[in-house]
Amino acid sequence: MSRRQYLALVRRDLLGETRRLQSLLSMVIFAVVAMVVLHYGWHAGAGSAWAADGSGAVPAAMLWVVFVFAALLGLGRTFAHEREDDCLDALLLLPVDRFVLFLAKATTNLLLLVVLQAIVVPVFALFFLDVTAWRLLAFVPVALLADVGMAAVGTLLATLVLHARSRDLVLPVALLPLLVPLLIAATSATEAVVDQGAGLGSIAGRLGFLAAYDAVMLLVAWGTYDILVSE
Amino acid sequence: MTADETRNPCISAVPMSPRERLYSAPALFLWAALVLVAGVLLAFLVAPIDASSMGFSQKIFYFHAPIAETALVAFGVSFVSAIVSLRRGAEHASGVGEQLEVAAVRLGLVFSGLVLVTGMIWGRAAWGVWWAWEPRLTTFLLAVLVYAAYFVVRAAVDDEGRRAVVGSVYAIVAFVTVPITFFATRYLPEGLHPVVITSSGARMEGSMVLAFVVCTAGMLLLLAALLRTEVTIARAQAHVSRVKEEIERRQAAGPAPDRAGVATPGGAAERGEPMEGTGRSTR
Amino acid sequence: MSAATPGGAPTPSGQGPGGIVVQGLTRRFDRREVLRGVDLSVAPGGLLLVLGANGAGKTTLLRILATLLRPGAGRVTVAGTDVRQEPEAVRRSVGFVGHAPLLYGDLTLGENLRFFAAAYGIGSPAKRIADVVDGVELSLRYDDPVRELSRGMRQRAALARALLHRPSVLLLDEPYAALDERARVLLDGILDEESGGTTIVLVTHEPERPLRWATETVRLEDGVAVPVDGRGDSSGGRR
Repeated sequence: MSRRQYLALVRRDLLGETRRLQSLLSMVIFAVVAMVVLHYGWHAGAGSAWAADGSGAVPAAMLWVVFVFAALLGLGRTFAHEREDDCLDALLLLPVDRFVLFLAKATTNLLLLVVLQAIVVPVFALFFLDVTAWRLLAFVPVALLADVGMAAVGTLLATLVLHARSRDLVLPVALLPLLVPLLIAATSATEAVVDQGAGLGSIAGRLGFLAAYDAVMLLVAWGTYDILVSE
Repeated sequence: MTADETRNPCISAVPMSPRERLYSAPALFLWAALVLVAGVLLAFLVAPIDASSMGFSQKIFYFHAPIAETALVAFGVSFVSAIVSLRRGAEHASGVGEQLEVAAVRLGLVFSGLVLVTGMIWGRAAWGVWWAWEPRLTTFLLAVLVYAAYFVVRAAVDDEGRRAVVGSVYAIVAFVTVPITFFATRYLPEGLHPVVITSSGARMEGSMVLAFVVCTAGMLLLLAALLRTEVTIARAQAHVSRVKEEIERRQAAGPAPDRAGVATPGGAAERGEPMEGTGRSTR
Repeated sequence: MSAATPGGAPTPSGQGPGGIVVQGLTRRFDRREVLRGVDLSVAPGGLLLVLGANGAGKTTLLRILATLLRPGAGRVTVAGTDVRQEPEAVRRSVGFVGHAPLLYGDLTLGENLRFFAAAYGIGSPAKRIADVVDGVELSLRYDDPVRELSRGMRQRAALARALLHRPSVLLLDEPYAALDERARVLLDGILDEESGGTTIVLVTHEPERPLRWATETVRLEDGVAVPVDGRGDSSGGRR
């Protein structure tokens, strides 16, 4: 008898999944994007110390892979307090421009990301890298610019899925692909600066790109936030 | 619903003028087919076989590049449609604009998938590898992922109005990400040797250019035909839903004098009187 | 622009600071038309009671007045300002008490109110907060996390939050629900104090209590506002 019940349960679940296709499709998308991110973490620069050496050392750019996945978890919490206490209306009632709400939330996320990095990066260096602290410092401008972009897009997307179901699944799936260009630039710059010890001047183009990415995303948020967050 | 709204929008009350017939959906398909066939003929019979190492398989370029451009045009349509919808305000977000946006994204996704397939075939023919992390392939891979997520995001929102707004905002962010990604893969990191699928540059001869242009035009016409069809189908479906609701509403109101839905401002309505004509518009 | 005499007879139009005018308001959710052409006006200082069955659209109407929801068609003016043109200005003048207390559970009552005071740009916030907390008799709970307050206390705290910035318009959605008798008397006191000066819209299922301050009453039926006479019966043509 329990075998029939078991089958009935499985069948019902599968039926539900096919109705809404979401879970499988989401996981597939995420897996493929993760592979893209992995590629850029692993092959961030030609002629890098890692490539030549191949002794099993990990490229510095891989820290972005670690970091972005951790960040995805944190960004999902953007409106957690308002949702848990059912007080989103409290913010919407305030006599402030809705974009200011965005900036406030994005700033909090930015601080969160910076603190996370300050903890994760040294640990990563400890486990995997063999570089002096100086080189790690050179990584800071790259990190900051990238963090601004991640906070901006992350906050915007968190608002997008504010009223959605399966939020915890949808946010990472929707956000990660959008971060790929940012990660391409960040991993490349990190590789140059940390593994190869290049100077900041040589990554000026990449830093400029990151700044441009940040600007574009902030612009999109500015243009769309009011209509997005209102009902 | 007013008498106007019960009429099926997909069947024109006034016969189409000859001009309109020229760009109706069936006509567009016809045009597309004609042009594409011409393009194929030009590509295979008129254009010379490429002098490079690729030889005959270079001809896939006549499809790969036009499909790529058409995909980008489709995404561009979704981008513009999204902006227009949002500018008109949330009340107008769902409607024809939304249907166009969704259709454009879906078609862009399909075309992008084809870009990947033709690109991989090209890559296999030219360099013996199925995949290379080069700008065009990577960008279109990302486009596929980003726009597939578009549907995931939309499916997660239950409220119709919100879904339209959310979809439009995502469509905008997604679209700006595509050229940004292309730029990123092509120009940085400096030092990576990308295997670039070139369009053979200025070395294209006249007949090659012609074949290329004709194929591009054909693809764009195909896109137009598909878009038009999708939007028409979506409108028809929406119309059916509206009619169903109206039927339910009238059944619920009962056979007696139809007092449901009468609202005269000021509260001076004489209630309970039989209604003349159809009920209030649900718009 | 007719001026209202505080506590006097309501003027026919709601123009002027603090008044509310709604003309032809429609609003739909997912194809269901909740409001189908609501017309009403509240004179500055007046108190409007809104009655109606569940799902009639009372909360929707209130949320539109608070700019939490966008109106569909129609014109909505609150405190002399169009909600579409200048929603921020409207929010500055509006105090809203809904079903949720709109307070952060992890923060204390004091922290919550300090946040709102800063967000509303209130001068000398400490004094104002103390006054308002006193007014709802929650001074003893000032440093307790809101999460630990009972439902009735949270409702009182919500009132404090709504009154903090001295709004010229108060929107109350079933404010008596979840209040014990003592708190109800408190609310009565607040209504007594505010009415005549502040414009109030009160949605309720128990009209008897606030009736004494009501300057007009409407019932939402089929998406329109029907005027109601003093005894709570619907009548037509009384405008």
